[in-house]
Amino acid sequence: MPMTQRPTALRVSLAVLALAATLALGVRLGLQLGALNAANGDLADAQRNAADLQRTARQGVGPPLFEASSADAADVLGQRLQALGLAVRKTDVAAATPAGRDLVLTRFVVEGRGDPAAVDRLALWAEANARSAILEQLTANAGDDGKSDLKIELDALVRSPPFAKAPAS
Amino acid sequence: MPNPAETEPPSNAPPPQDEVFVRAVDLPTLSLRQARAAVAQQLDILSPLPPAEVAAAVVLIGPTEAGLHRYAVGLAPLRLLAEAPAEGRSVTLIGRLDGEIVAFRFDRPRTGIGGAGDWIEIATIAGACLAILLAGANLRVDREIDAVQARLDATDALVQQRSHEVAQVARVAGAWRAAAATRKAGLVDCALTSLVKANAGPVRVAGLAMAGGQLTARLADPPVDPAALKALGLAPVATPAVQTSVAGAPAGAEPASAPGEAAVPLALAHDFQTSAAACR
Repeated sequence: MPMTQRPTALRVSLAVLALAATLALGVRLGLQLGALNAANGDLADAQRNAADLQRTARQGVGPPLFEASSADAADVLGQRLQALGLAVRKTDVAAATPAGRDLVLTRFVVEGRGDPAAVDRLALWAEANARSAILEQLTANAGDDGKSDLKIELDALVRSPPFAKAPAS
Repeated sequence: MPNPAETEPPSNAPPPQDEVFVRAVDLPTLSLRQARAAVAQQLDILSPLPPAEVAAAVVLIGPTEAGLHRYAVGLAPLRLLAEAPAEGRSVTLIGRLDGEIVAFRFDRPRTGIGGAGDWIEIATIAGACLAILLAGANLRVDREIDAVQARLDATDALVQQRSHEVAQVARVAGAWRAAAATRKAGLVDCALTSLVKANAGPVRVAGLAMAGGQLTARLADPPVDPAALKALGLAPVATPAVQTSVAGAPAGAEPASAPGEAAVPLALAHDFQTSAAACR
């Protein structure tokens, strides 16, 4: 039936229906836009928060003493100490605590030998790397040859490279 | 004389049927326009229906004996005209006057209701189009909200994870700073240097122990100048700091660092203790 022949009541009903649908959809769109704005605001806040936290976490405890996987850390430290003139017999990792952003706070227990000059160099090296290492304990017992048996407990920040895995034993 | 074209229906027309109420009116004019105006003024008298609900059409029948002109006035309900099939702007309806069939041509009513109806139609179409557009916008914004919400959820999870990381780092950093404040590695260098200074030359150290920020050095021989050592921050202690004990150390001179331990005279002390704060 052509529109012009529709009863007036039907035409008015259709008009009211269209008006109601338009109003309802308009109101819903307004609410949706409000919700979208709120969600965008929340998202911006969350992103800012995440960035702040990332910055804070990246500051970390301090700079790493060296970068090594957990399996290689003891060897790397042993090499560093040998470079200071110490004869390293054994290096163990006594404890490891995650310190954020791939850093691991590692306690090394080192046994070795060295003369007083090497011990002094060790102390100065630890002092120079005070932000990355703490000489927790040092015990030196002098032998007859002028060298001392050493036992060192050193806390150090070690950065584990991403995806570093301990080799299968 | 009446016009045959107006008084007789066309030959191919459907069988005549009274569709209008017909009245005869005698008027002194030959003008149809004046006749229509006169009928319009008398409509409330001529019409059996309320004047607002009828339309009138006038057809000249012919002259009367009194010198007037007879008109057939057809009165049709507006509803009938509105429902009649569309034939342009006029509607032709059949009436009967004194047995004669008269065809009346009515203008299609364009009343206020009809105009409003047109506007209603236009508004309905416009409203429907707008509703479609709004529905599309609703769907699009819905999807946008879902996408933003998904990103927000992911970011919230990231914030939570980083909060844990930061808390852990803060905990470790606190412990690290506390340890770094007391465990000064430079203390070893300071103590060794002080021993050399106090002895005014090389000195034999039997043992060295550093723990908890305190360093204890055991000299192989008694110091030449214990007072100089003390002045440099190295205080004598009676308690052996390293595993080996000091043989033959008599008791009762200096206060012991721990109860029950044997005290060693200052002059015979081999163990000297210092800390980062005391060492100079």
